[in-house]
Amino acid sequence: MRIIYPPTLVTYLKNKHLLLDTTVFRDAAVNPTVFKNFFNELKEANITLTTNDFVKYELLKGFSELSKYKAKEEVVSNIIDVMLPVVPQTFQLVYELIKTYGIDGTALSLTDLILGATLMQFKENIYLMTRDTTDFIQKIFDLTFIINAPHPKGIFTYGIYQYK
Amino acid sequence: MKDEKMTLPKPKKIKLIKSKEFAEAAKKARESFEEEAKYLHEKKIKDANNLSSNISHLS
Repeated sequence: MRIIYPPTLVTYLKNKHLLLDTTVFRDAAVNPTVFKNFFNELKEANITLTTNDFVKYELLKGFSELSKYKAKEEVVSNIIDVMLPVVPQTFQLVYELIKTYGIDGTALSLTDLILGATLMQFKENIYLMTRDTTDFIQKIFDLTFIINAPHPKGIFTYGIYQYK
Repeated sequence: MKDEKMTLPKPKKIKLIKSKEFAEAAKKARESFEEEAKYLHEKKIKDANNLSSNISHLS
């Protein structure tokens, strides 16, 4: 089994950064072989896999023993090539994003806002991969690609988004 | 706000994921995610019970 993606995906993302949302890491832990192959195909095309501390906090919180906390950290560090710092400009852009969303922003999490602001910050140089396909609305973000991944109980669908 | 242009950080080298190392970490992380889901489920039930108990005390 493998992740199914459009043939143009790799060409499109080549030399760009792909920002990964929390669900991607969780799903990769459930299906490591499938995701490892997919990520390595991206890495071989010089696509930089990245995330930020807000996503990492979501993943790390809640564990019964320290070795599990460390295992979650290892999953992240195995996948990503570089951590993306959240800087004052990113936080400032969150206010712009909130204004653009209007009422549609009511249910957004802080992590979603930071991810969205990061897309605004780096525009054409960065894409977001997320399974949260209802919060990154298309009046603000282009849904550039759709990716399907087999899952023990079905299929997970991810969006690859870029700021318009 | 000062418009400070920040460039995307680039890694020195893009490293491929090693199967064995990743599978081991993933297995343990998966166990943790399952425990967290169970904890959240139980907490949800407990909180719902507390809420209904509080409501019955008010009526």
